[in-house]
Amino acid sequence: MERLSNSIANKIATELNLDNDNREVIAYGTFALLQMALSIILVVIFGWAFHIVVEVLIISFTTSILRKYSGGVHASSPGICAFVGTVFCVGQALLVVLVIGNVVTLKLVLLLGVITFVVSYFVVYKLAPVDSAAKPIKREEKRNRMKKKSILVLCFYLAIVVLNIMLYIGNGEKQILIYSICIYVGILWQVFTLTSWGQITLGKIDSFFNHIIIFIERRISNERIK
Amino acid sequence: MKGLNKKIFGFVAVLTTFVAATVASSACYWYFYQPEEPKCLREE
Repeated sequence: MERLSNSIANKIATELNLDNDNREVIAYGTFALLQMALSIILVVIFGWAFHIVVEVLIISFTTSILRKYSGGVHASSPGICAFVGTVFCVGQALLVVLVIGNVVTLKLVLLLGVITFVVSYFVVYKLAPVDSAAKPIKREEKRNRMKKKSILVLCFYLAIVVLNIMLYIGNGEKQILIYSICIYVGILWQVFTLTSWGQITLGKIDSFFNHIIIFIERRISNERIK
Repeated sequence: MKGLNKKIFGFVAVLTTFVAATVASSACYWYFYQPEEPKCLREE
């Protein structure tokens, strides 16, 4: 994907006579667009296969929007990112629908809501933003701005959940409660990736898939030599 | 035809630059991968 975005950027920069800085920015933006499109397409395809498209999209967008401001642990390659992201989103949505979907009640949603928001406000206040080596956040002003925006996103999610509960009281549609649980799962998952436990867990998953990729590459090169 | 090509390339350049600037102002890219940010977008 990096090669594709670089070649698109090179083509545009040559056609429009742009300098190297502009070419790098276009390559970065192209990569962002491709990565987002791939992640969303994968999530929609697998969600559609399991008949849980809406639930998967809610979890995926809840996590990603909060992540933009709170940061978190990263995968070492875009392929592992797309794969792990899809598996976790679809897995979480399946768990919500199959396990909690049958026993969901208003009381359960209220109880889980209180736990989710108390934990996530605390963790975000204490840890956000969690930066990475590829994109360090050094300025204190920017760190504070990111923290405030993360808390604002959590407030926005809280408002959506309150609205969902009011809608449920109005029409008794159980699906609305399941959507609220999906928001909780998305928030909790993202908040988990901010903690050291989350970083260790995802680090191990990432190195496991890296080993698999290296093993497959070696097998392919050995086959070619033979 | 060349003029149309230039317009399309121009549109893609504007769109991707906008996306890059939006991503640069956030703490993280999208989900679990973060490529290295271009030097001109870094806030030192």
